[in-house]
Amino acid sequence: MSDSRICEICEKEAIEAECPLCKRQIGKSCLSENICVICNETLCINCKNQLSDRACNICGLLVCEDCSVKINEEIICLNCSSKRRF
Amino acid sequence: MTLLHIGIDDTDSPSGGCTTYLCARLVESLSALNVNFVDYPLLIRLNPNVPFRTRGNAALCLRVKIDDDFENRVKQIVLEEIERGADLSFKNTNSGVAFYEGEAIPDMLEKFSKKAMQNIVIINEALKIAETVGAEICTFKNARGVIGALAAVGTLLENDHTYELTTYRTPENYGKPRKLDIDSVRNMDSATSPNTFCNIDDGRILITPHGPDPILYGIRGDTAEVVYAAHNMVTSLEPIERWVIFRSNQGTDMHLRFLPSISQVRPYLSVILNGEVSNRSKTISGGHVIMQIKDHTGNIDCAAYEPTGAFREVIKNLIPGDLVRVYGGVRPASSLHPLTINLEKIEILKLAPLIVKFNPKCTKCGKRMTSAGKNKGFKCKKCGLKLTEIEKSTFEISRNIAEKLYLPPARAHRHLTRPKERINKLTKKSETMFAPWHNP
Repeated sequence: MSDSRICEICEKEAIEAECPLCKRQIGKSCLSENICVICNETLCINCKNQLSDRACNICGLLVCEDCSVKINEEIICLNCSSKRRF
Repeated sequence: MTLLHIGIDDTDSPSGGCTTYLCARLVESLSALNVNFVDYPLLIRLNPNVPFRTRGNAALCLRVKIDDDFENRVKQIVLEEIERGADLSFKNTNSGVAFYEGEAIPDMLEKFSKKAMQNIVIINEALKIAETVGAEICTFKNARGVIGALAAVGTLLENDHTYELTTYRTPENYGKPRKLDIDSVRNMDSATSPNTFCNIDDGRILITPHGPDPILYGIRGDTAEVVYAAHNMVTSLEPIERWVIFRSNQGTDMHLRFLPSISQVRPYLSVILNGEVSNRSKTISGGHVIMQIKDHTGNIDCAAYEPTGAFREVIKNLIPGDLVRVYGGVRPASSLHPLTINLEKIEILKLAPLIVKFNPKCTKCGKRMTSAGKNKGFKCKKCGLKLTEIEKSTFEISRNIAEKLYLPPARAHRHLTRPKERINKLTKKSETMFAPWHNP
């Protein structure tokens, strides 16, 4: 972030857009499906609207806070929690 | 002779395993080949805020000097160990290995390591770095493990580091309660602290983890000598299969990066940020305390969670106008809360005066007066005196917090958080290695 005119991710390209999820100022090649490449890799697998918080302890998929529950200190996605008896 | 750097990451799962255990087994296998270890195995904690991590987001690096003829044999042993020990059946386990040959680590790789500790790195970036520096990589599944493997290779820990002696259980005890003589742990702590740290917190033993992993206990300290001495003071009531001393970035704050303004805060970063407290904290369900700070670019929530115990009282005692420096990981926004800094510690830079106002005392009888109505002054209920040209008395109340650094209790620390025992302490890399540093 030393130079505010260049992409915050690759630190090479000129800024072309702002990621709507994380507000990073990014270059063209760091855009993926209208969000930045980092958010694209960390997006909640379930709702695809929010950034994920943790991976589900059972299935391993990345899920956001809204799409997971905390049971005995474990983060479980809604899908796994509906299938499992605790 | 070739100096081979071996980076390993992401071999465990929530149901068991541990990359440090796999590394400890490799130390035994490679020792049998008489390879020359030029450093302790490195236990590198990467950004603790990334969602991909299993537990503590650790990656490992071994640096060995070997005959050129041995190189392929060593690589084969590493890969066989990963195939045998990694829990690749778990969806989120994506093991990665990086082999780098050379006396010096390229600047680009060092920079990448720093980024992996403080920021978030995508798989493609790691693959490009590996190609550019000429590192050989072996990936399993989606290749995410190559990020940590490369980052571990690129970490030199020349300016600060700590040590951890980790002991491992025999397989028949996995999943069972860990058995240690608690008094021996207390005696060890008394004898070796502050050169060892995070052993005990308020009577609670911290050297043992609680999960199904193979670790029995780990002792952290400033030198290899002190963690070895401390290990010899602890009485285990179950057999120890093996132990290894790791050199590590734990307890160094290496994950934290200063940001000049709130507008530069991004999800998953580990940040240091200056700001002014903008409102009184509030306690939400679960006992978590939320405060807000602001600067000229905006404002952001900061959270002290319930496990931080008395640390929350510090946050509750902050008032608008206090200048603070917050340290913590950035949690992404959700429908339930905005972008939030999960506080790891807080430094109070300047306390604002806490002023309280009281109604004035009656000049005739000394009784505290009451308001006579808006803009109508005050009246005394005892003697009936009315005064219009009088204002409320103001008093400055002494604050019950001070301008200093506050840390949560050790039980709530991140692995990377610099504990109170290491404030203002740096450990430079030693030229010699302590022996013994592993068994077997």
